[in-house]
Amino acid sequence: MFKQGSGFWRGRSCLWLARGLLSVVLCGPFPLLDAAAAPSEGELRAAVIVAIMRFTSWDTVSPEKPVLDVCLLGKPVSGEVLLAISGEQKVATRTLNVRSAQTDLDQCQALVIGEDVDDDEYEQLIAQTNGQSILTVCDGCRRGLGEDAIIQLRLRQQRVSFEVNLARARNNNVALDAQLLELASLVRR
Amino acid sequence: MSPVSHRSFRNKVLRTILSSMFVMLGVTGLGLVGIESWINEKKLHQDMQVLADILGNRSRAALEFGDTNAGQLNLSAAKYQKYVDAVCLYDQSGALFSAYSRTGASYDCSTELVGATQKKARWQTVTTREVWHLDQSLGTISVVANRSFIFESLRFFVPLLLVLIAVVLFLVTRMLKRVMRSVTLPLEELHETAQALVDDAYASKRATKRSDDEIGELVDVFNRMLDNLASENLALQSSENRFRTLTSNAPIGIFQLDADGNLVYANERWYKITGTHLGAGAWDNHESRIVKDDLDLYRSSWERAQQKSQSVLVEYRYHSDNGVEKFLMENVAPLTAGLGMEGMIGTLADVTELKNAQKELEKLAFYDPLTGLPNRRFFVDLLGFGLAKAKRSLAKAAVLMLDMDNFKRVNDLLGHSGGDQLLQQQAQRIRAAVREQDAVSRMGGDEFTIMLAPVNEISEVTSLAKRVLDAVNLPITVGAHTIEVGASIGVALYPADGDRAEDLMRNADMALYEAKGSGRNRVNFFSYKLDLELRESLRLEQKLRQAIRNQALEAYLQPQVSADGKVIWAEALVRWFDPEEGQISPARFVALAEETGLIHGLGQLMLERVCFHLSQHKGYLGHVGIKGISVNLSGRQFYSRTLLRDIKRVMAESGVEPEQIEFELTESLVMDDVQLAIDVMRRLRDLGCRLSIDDFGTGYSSLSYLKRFPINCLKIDRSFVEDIPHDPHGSEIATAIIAMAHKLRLKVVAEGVETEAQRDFLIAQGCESLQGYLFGKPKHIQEYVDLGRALFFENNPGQIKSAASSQARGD
Repeated sequence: MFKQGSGFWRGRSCLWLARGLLSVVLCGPFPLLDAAAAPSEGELRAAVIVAIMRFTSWDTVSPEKPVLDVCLLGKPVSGEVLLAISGEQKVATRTLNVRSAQTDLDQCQALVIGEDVDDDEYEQLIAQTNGQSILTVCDGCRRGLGEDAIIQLRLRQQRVSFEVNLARARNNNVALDAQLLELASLVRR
Repeated sequence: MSPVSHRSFRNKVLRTILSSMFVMLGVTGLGLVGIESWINEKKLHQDMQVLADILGNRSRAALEFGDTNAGQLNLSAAKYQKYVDAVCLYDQSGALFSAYSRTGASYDCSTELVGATQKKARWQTVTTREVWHLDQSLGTISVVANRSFIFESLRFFVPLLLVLIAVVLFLVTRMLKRVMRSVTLPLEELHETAQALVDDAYASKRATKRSDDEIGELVDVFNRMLDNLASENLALQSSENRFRTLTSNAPIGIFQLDADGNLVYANERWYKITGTHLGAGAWDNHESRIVKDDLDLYRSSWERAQQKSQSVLVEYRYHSDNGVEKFLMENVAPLTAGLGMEGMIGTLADVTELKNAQKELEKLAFYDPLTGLPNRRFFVDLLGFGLAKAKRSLAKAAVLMLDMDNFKRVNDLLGHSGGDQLLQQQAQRIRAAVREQDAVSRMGGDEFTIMLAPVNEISEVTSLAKRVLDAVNLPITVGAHTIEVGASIGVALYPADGDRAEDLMRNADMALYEAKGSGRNRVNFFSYKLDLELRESLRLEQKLRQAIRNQALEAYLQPQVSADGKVIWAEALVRWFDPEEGQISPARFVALAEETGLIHGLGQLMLERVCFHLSQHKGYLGHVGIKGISVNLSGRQFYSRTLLRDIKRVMAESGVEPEQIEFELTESLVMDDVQLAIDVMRRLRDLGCRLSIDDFGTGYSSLSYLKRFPINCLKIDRSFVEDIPHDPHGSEIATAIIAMAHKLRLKVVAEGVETEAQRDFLIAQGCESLQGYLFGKPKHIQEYVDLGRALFFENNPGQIKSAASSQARGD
């Protein structure tokens, strides 16, 4: 029944990232956020990224590791928000450790790539993460880029949606929850 | 039991079993429905939980990303569960996130989580689960299910169950019918067999054994029971045949009455005895013939038999057809069966002849057949009653003992038949002379006993006794003879002379004895003097018995001389010298010996003594002149069966010649039984002994008999001798006796000769022998032996003693 449902869900990947999502993902543990104000795009994108991480599992990362290292490259839209919640926000039992990183990418479990990364650098990064157990998220990458990232966030009509490169996820030994795939606007295999 | 009831029984069992099965299956079905419902409900609950978990799990991403559309889509998957009416998904804050509601279902998710669980319809159940992801609650999901699902499955289950029950019941019914048929068929056969035996107890039909199970064993037992019944029936029939044969041929009447007193059976003999006829009124007719005086006794006997449940024997008088009264004896007993009485059964016998014979026997037992008076036995009873009555009324009574005087002479004169007639007439006179309440009985012979009771004064007894004596003394005619018979009466009075019947009778007897001794034809009252005499007599009897046993009696001899004065014979006389009392007169003890029977031993002793001396001293006695000795024989001795044997023995032991012994018999002795006396006398004569009649002239010897007596001589009684020659009567009688004796070729001995004149007269009349004091008093036999011895030595002076001894023995 749910398999059939999976097909049905696929292609309908529009997510209305609204206040509810933030309250689920961010507001509960983060009183810093003002829930009464309308959320910014960065906040929405950060909330989606955190939610995606909640449906992601890393094969090579020890379950006992207490932190989840999130590395920021370039200037992702959600960068500030993510940095703001670093050390506070938890994904399961692990605390988010968000930092801007140019090196030591192999220590990161998630790599959020921003708009100002050029093509070569991007490709190098992608190639560098290939085979590494790193969730790559393209948050505001330039047009044309991001398809090689595992997750690519998109903003359409005030909605934040995301696309999934499943082949890339397999190469990076990152497992994505089926429900995540059902919410994805596009899944590349 | 009818065939219908057989079927009913079978149906009843079937109905019972099927009903039980129906109930059992129904209960089981209901139980299954309940269980099914419970399982369904549980399953529903579990399904709801699973569904809630699945939907909740599926909604995690939607909740995480706040995608209500995705949530809506997820929840709509519940439409494939028909029993789900609605699914409500609430976010972390409890607000309704998304919902699914079945079209037409009466449930709307509330906007807030709070109270959602309480909101449900009657037939709805709500399952609420929290949605978790990575240890964080994302929200709550509520699944509302319609409970009709629980019962929906029963829509199929219940009809299926009913069909199954019906099938089972159908199959069970068929199976039970077959089983019941196999069970009831042998039972029906048993019933048919039993019915056949009810119709005919002797039917030989038996049930067929069809199996070796319990029913087969029942058939075996039933058949064995029938065999036993058949054999018992045969035995019963045989017994009944025997009973019928017995009753039909029984010499007594047999009858049976039912509980209502109706005659149900009587044999032919019963009808014959009762003179009734077969029919409804036979028993009433029978009862109406019972003599009225005996009817009460008869009915009370029956009541007793019924009340005590035991047989009762009753005798009653009965009016026979010919009007003659007869005696019937009936033995009746209740016929019981189980706890109740079925009726009465009895036997009836005509005991008229037996009763008459019984009466005759009673008469013989209690009455004197000659006179019709009570006999001695009955008199004793009557006397007992009379004395008891007198004692109660403080009155006196008397017993009279009456004895005819010289009745023997009457018998001699009239013969026994005439004597009997006289006794009959005298009995009537005695009976008529006393009062109605007095009793008269005949003791036997010519002896009567009279009881006078009650008596107020002694003078009454005297008067009555005198009347009896006067009545007896009246002349009486028997045949051609008119004679006068006297009587003596002894009287004993109650209570003066005794208070017991036997004492009074003994005392009256003593008084009678005294009356006889005092001159006869008189009334003598008992006195204690008489009693003393009797006691004295008893004492003397004891002493005499002792003396005979000790041979303390002595033989004396009185010589008999011939006309020329020579001693030729002697008579032995007994003498008794008691150490205490000295000589006791023969007049005292001889009569006593006669009365008591001691005379037999006494006579034997005297015979032995005489024979002893005769054998031992025959020679000496012969010198005195005594050639032989006369010995008196009493009546008891003479008629004793051992007389001849005893005499022969004594003579054989002593060696005495029979001709040396003469036996003297009295007239009265030989006249008691003349024929027997003649016979005994002949035997004694044949033995060689001599015989003489003693005291001749005092008795009543018939001359015709005298001629036939084989005797040798007559001894003239001293009463005829003592007045000779002065009394012409005595002299004539003596002369006549002597002449008669000579005519009969008998010798004559005159006794009591005391004077020479008597001697001379008698010798002149031809009397051969004389005896009396004129010729010597009786002396001890030893004195004659001594005298003989002295004479012997006088005549034979040269003889020595030894020779004398042999001479004395008669050698």
